[in-house]
Amino acid sequence: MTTEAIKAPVVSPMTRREFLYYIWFGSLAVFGAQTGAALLWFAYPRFKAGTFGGVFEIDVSELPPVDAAPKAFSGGRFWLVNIGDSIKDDPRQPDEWRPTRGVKALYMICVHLGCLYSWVPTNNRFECPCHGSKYLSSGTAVAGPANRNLDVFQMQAVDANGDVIDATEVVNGEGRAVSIEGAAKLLIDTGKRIPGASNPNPFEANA
Amino acid sequence: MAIWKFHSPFLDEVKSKGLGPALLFKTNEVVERITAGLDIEDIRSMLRGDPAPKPNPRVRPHADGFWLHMRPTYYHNLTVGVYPTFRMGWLSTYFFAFEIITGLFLMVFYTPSPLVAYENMLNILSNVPFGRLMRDLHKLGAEMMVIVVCLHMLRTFITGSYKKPRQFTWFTGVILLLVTLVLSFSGYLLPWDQLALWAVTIGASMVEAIQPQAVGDFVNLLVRGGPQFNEGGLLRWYLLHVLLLPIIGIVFTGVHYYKVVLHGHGLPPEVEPVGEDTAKRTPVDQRTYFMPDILTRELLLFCVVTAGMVFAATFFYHAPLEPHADPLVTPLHTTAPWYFLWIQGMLKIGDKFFWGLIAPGIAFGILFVLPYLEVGPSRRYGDRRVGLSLGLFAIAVLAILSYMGTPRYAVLSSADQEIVAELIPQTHPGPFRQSNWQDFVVGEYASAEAHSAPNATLTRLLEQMEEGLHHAEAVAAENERAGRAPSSGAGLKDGEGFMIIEDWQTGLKRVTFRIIWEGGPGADATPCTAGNKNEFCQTTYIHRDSNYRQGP
Amino acid sequence: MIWRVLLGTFSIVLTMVVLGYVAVTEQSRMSSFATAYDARKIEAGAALFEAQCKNCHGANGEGGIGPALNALDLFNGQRMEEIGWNGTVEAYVRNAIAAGRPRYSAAIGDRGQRMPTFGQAYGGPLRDDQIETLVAFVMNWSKAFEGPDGRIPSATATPNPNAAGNDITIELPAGDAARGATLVTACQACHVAGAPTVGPAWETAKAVDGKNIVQHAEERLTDASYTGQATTVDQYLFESIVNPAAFIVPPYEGATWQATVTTMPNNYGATLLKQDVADIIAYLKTIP
Repeated sequence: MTTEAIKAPVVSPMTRREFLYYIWFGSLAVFGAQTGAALLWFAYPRFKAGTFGGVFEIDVSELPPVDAAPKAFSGGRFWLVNIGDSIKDDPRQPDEWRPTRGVKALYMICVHLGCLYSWVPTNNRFECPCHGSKYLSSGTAVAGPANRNLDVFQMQAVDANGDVIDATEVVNGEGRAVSIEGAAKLLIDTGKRIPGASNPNPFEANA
Repeated sequence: MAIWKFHSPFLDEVKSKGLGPALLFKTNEVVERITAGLDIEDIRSMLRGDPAPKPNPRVRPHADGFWLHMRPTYYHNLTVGVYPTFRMGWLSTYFFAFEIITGLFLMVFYTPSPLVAYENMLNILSNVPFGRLMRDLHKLGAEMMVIVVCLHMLRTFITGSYKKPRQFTWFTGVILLLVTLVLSFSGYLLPWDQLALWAVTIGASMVEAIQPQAVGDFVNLLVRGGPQFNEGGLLRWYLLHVLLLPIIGIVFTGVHYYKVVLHGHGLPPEVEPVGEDTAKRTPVDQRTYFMPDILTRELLLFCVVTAGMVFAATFFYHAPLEPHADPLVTPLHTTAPWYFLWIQGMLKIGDKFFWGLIAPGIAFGILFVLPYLEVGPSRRYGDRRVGLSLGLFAIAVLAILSYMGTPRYAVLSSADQEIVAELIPQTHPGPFRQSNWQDFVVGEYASAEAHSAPNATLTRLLEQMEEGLHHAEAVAAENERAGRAPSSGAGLKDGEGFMIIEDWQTGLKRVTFRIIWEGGPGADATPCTAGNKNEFCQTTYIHRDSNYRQGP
Repeated sequence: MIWRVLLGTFSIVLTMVVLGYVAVTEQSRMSSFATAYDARKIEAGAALFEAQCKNCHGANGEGGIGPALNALDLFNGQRMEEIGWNGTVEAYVRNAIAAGRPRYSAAIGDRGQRMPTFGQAYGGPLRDDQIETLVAFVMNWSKAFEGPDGRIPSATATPNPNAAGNDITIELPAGDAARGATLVTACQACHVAGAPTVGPAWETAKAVDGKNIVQHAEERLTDASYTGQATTVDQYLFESIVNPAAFIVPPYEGATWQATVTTMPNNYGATLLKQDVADIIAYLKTIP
């Protein structure tokens, strides 16, 4: 590296013309930034309501009965589970993430490596066919390589007038169930996913 | 141990000079590398307008850099002003780049299938931020590119810059003209609306005329992907538009520009001795160096033209979107895009093989070989009166043929259809659809009583109808004098017009335009029933929210 | 030279201002564009309706050979319930237009004609986008029925007086076993082909205990575990069709938390007429 061969920089005073050039280049830079931002906005995907990535509206009449098997909504890629006392007091449920009464929208994708888990009525739980992760209908992982509970989608329960009665909040590190008392519809935003609580050592009693 | 020693020349500099000067030194070094030869002070002296030092560092980016390698280091003073080039060549390249960039962004949201292309257009226009602006820029840029390329060719012809040694440059230029025209034409098809489908069907139909018939049919299927344009055709033209033609365009622009620089920009004809080309031998006192003078001018032109394009596309120019392409219905008055009207005009003259293929082939053939035929040594305007007159004549012929290509010439149907088509055209919204929906008061209105209509909108529309009927009446009188049936051709005897407005659904009205003429149904006949003679009815529906004035 | 710098800067600033203006107005422009094109879809649909549909459904959707479309019972879901369709009204309309109707609507009964297919995917003449315009046009009639809150009043079901209903104590007309045989094709998927895995078997050959339907009915009526209301074999069979959840035959009761849910559809009381049920019961009693 021959540093001597390169001229040492000289600092001389700026003329008006030079200054105006800098203003021009500055404006070009700002214009470039504005264009860049506009192009990002242009290219960012937007989701229509009713398509995955957007908001799904489910009438309460479409919900599975309380404590019944979860119901699949493939268009939105979620299961709706209606948690009542039976699921809440399930002896297999670890206390740390014991659910409250209400509805959860569980994302259909297994948190391990992305397969779609199935509902197995005989065992009354979700089981993933790829590597054997198993989840209760509350979404808690109870066996297998999954290291967190199932992800849920942000959900709002609205009444007949469209007012929000209840919405998903993060409790115990994951989204809690939404109470549907007095609700007419559920709005499930598949663009907003709340990851399940970290659960590295699934509780394996009665699994 | 050697692996624990961290050696940075930069840190040595910092140690010997201090942080400030070391940073400045490093930045200077980086700038010199990026610009391929200009350090900070060189750039600053350029921007200040200082005369170039000797040796001139400002030529180094040309010699050592990639981007400026083909660009000339200096221009002759006489080629630098608006005359003689009018910057048309530069603008052609600008618009080509402009189209590539806007086109690439539109490609993010477009799939070339008849099942979704139109819905993609609706998506771009209703659900993509800046979508309409991007599309309008792309379409406006396409029209500008065709205009600018043609003006560039015209200028080159007028200044005789196609002559020796620049003949092949002209040749590649004609190739680029063809590339531009086909690029524009192939892009026209992509929105898959009625305008796209039928305009391109008209243009491509000439291919069918190739003789012998077997060859013509073969090429027709090759070009259209089927007997009519369908999913195969759309995909082929899409690939033509985004891949093949841009590649050919880029390659030939490279060849073309290389030749331009090789021979140097031609000087204005009046300053050169006849028969000589002195463009490459620029005396030192006649030089304008690229850095900074030409660079500044080019940057300025870029800024001004971009500003103009964005302004025009936002406030004035909006690309239309007609209804979904319907292969079973050709709209009345469908035309080719304006730069192909001349061909459509020729097709109205006679046999489509000669007028659609041979004649345009001869025209382009002449363009291609012009510099090899027209070998007169002088470029001066005074010495080329014949050539320049012929050029002017060719432009006049093009203009006339283009007029003949419009629907006004020889494609008019009967007067009753034409009058109604003026009000509710099939190729664009038209005066009726652009009127205020609230003014369409339910009722039946006669055009003869336009003045007693409930509001100005209805009066205006009915008066337009009445005017058309008066004109048709005059033509009918002429027909009678000439011994023809009065209500034939553009004539209608005793024509009467009506507009019937009904409520149909929430926010939807049904409007019937009815024209009757001599021998038509009497007052007690049910209007618009099959079997009524000398009556023409056309119905349209108009919704409160359809807003035909908003642009597309 | 300086004027070039100034003009260049000015052009860039102008471009930025215009882009800013576009950014600010873009949201509202996009939504008004969407509204405009939805409106134009209705216009196109109106023209197509006049050309293709008005001869059967009436120019104003008032009906004729085909059912009325400008009708509340279409938009409040009543017709959909009658045939057991569980999608949206819009999907129902789209399906009817594109795929046609092999069976008449309960609202109109059998007029001898069926709606033909119109979608190209089903052999008809219209493209998908044309079907969409017709759907938009038909759905636009629902606007006239909207209440002040913008919703369609729900079906205060004035039930079809001839529907079988859910009361199993009513008297049914005399049943025709031959006609009943023609009505049960839909049932055979579960009760014949799918038996005994999916539903209880009708045929003795497939029944777990080798008995026929009438014997089963007699047996279960008197069983201690019977949870239904029937007192006669006919009532038992009636109940098993219109109120399947009243008693779920072992071993089909499934897991305890599924006690109120059956695989058998529970709306036959609304979709079948009394005569239909009578004929089916007559047929069932003849199965060996």
